[in-house]
Amino acid sequence: MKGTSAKKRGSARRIACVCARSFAVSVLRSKDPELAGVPLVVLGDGMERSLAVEVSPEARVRGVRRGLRAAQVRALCPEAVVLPRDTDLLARTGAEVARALLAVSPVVDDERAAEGLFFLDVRGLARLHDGEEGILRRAVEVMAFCGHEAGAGLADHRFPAFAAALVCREPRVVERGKDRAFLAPLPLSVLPLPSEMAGSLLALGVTKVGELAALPAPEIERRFGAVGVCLHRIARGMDDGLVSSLTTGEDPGERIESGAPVHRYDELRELLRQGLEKMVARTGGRAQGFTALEVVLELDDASERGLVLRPGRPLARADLLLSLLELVMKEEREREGETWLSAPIVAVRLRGTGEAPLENAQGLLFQARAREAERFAAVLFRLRKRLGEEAVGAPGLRDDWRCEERFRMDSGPDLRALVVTEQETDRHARVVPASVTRMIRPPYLLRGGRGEKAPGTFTWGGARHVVIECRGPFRLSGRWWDGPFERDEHDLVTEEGGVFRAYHDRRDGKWYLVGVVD
Amino acid sequence: MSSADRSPSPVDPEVVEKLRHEMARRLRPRGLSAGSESSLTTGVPDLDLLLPGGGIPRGELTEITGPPSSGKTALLVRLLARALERGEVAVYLDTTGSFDSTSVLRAGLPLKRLLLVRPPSVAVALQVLEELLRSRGPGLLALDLAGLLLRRGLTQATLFRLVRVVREVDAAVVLLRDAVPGATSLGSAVGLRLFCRSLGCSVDPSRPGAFRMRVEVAKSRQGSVGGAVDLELDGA
Repeated sequence: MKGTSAKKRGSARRIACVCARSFAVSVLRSKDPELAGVPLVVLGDGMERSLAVEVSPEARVRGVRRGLRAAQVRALCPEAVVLPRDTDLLARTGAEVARALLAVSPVVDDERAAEGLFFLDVRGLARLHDGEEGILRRAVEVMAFCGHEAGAGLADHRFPAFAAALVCREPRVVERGKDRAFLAPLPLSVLPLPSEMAGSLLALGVTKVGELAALPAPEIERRFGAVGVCLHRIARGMDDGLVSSLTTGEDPGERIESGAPVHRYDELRELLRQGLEKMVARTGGRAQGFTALEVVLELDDASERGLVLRPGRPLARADLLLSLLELVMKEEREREGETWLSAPIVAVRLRGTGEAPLENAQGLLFQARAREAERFAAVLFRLRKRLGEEAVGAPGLRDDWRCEERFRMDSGPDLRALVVTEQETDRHARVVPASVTRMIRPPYLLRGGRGEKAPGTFTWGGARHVVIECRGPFRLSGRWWDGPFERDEHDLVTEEGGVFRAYHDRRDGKWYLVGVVD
Repeated sequence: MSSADRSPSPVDPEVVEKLRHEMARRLRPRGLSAGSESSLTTGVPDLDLLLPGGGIPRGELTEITGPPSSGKTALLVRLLARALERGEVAVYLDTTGSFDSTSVLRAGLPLKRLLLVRPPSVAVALQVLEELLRSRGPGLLALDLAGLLLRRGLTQATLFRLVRVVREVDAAVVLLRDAVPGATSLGSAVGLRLFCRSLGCSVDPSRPGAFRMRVEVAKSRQGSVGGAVDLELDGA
């Protein structure tokens, strides 16, 4: 029993967090040494472009704080140098620091490198660095060598390690199994509680993380739902986030030979399944997936048949990859007929490319979502195959003089674009709604219009509409550069308050309904 | 250094903020950020105050209906934009081929972030909707049925099957419909029904083309009905 326990303990995760203090400030100073000792304030980007997001200690003693506007900073500290955040420089520097940290651990998570935040998988490395304290010492030395002052924490899980790095002035090791105890005295405000939950907990007198952790889990779930469960787990030190490694380069691939030439589809499927499972086993542990999969079928007549699968999102589930691969093969077979393979298959080569971190795959808390992301990518892939590339994707604009034709479907392979980033969010934020035109495709012929006179009534969408006002012509989309206007556009206002967009085609003299303002 | 029982030093407010930001960032991809669990806010404060639960409910069908030019599509586009702002995946099922990229872009919807599906029929649209729901990927799915009378294709049985799936996955599903005589009623399958009507042009001379609309809560399982809010829409 003792041996088993020791073995289990030895393989349990240990995560170190290294967090550069004022990373943007120190990066700017390393680029321009003249900024050393000068009160320096770094502004954010996007909606935060006029807000201070990082402040040097010299500026802080003069009262400058994060979140102040640039004008307030100048008022408080006129001698402060205020600079925008150089995102490219931060990303480059972060990548360099991540590579340097490989001297501490072979698994360095560089996802947040541009913010100066690094997570290291340090299980089994204590003896190499003279204890876990030695790991943190070494990490802080590496950061100092790179020119950045850093805090460091080590715990069983990501969030406690991060908290240790931020909260404690000195590098701090949280003993095995003591994550919950470490988090317990922190104020509850470190967790992003929904206002309703925060109010209820405050009413109960819960103000510390440890007090939240002590509440019964079923009750939390009943009262606060999924968010409550997540936060309660965090409070109990159960943030099971993994540490993904730096990109490790090209995948060497798998080659699976069949004992005898494969004639049947189910045998081919089994070969593919074996290969995919091996590939996934190799990358899944690092929370990495593939964005493209190259498959080569080696045939008995010494020829080869290649297939490429591009799922759009990193996938790391053999069953999903296999089902998508089946779709690709089915498509090939339909296109080329039963003779798409000239001979039986003797071997299968598989190679994953575009290795990338699995989205949201930060451990158990987020694994459910990671599975969802993969499932969603698979569903999109299937829909595209079923409905066609032109029926599933992101809408775009086509340059056309006819308003009803200014549409195209952009179905780029990278479906990650569907998820918005914070900066882009801000750019599109809008409080006042704007009316939208619903197009009628193809334009609907209106009977009753005579020459340039709009029809007095028309029937559309199962209802009769009486026109009480005809606004225009607007002449917005005629081909004016190539002769006279072809279209006179009008807004037809009906007695029920409807606004219909119509045009008079000057070539055939007829009226067409092309949209409804809604 | 390794004493786990030692309490951490008093926590700097900036550190507290960083820790909270970190957790909020980690929870956001699940659509679990603060206040998001049971409803999707519209981002229009007056309307959010009116709606029971502070927004469009998740796990329920919502119907936005109204006559042509009542502003219902504008309201739907606003909802889609709001879902995208929150980092959720939003899907627009355009059964009528009426999607207009130009005006939707002008209304503030980032086109490249929207997943648009153009199914060939209502029956296929319902299948696609169910498939997307079961993938548990999108946070908001909008099915545009405006301009269709739907005497066939959308039976009560189909609707209740849809309701079951929506409840399972806890996503917000919005059905956009024209309120025209002869259109099939969606009956009790719908949890929230918003009725839009046009109030004519804006009286503000600085906003040419703008018009006013009224949104009424015609049905709600979560709260009272009959409340209304007037909104002003920028011109198309």
